[in-house]
Amino acid sequence: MDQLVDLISRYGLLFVFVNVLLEQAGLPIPALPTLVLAGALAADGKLSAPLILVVAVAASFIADYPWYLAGRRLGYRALRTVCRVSVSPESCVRQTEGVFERYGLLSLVVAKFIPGYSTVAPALAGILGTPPLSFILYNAAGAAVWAGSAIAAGVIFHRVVDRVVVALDGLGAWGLALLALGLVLYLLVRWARLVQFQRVLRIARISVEELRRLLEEGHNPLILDVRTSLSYRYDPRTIPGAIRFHLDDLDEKLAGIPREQEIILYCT
Amino acid sequence: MAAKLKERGFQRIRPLAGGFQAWVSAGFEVQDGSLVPGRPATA
Repeated sequence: MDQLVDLISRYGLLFVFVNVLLEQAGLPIPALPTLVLAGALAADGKLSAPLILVVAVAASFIADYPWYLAGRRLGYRALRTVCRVSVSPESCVRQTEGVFERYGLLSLVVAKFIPGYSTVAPALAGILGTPPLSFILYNAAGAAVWAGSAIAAGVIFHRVVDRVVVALDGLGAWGLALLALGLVLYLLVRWARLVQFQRVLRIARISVEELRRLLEEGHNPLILDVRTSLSYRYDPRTIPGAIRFHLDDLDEKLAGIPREQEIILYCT
Repeated sequence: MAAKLKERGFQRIRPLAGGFQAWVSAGFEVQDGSLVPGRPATA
């Protein structure tokens, strides 16, 4: 364990940089424990806390900015690409838009603390035409708050962190095995959540070709446009015959509609 | 949304695969949003 701490002491900034970069790029490699440990090492005089913060913010920016640019150039296609690697694309886009719609650019400041949102928020900021300087400022502020709080926790609780490291060191190889087990458990929990979420969302879908055929053949499905106000402003066109629909209107709009009515929902 | 509708007794619900972007990308007809009944865009 001492070797691990020595390794982080020696290559600490590089370690922090790579870890934050990978996590912010969307890989399930938590960076918070590394930042807390780096903060504790800073309190022990082995690393510089301001430098750790600068490196973490820089890594975060390098991971986020390409998605912001992709959002500006590709529009919603960029967001769908990000979401495709996480969960159901439609659900992901809706949830992301919901957060952005509610908090605007300020959501970038807290984005790092919201699982899943951290990766998709930069793309959404680009899609919605956030000026580059605003994006850079808010994104940097968010990364600084996120990394800063973890580093501060490491500095404040460095004695506790030191005791944990000493205890793990006392366990020898078992200490490393315990850490590895913790990481595996973390990944398992994330995977289980993903599987559970996808199971809830699993439902038969209709293709655009099939919907068009239904319309041409004179079938009369109820088509509900459930896009958020944000994406509706982005593209106010709709599928012919669709009804704008909001979750708040659920009971009002569905009153009198027979329960056997076929309903087609579409999002962004 | 589909889950909420199911909770209210609707059984024949199908989300559109790929969403609105897939419809637009396929080159199918769209209509002017101002003609659409429902909540205003700013709601």
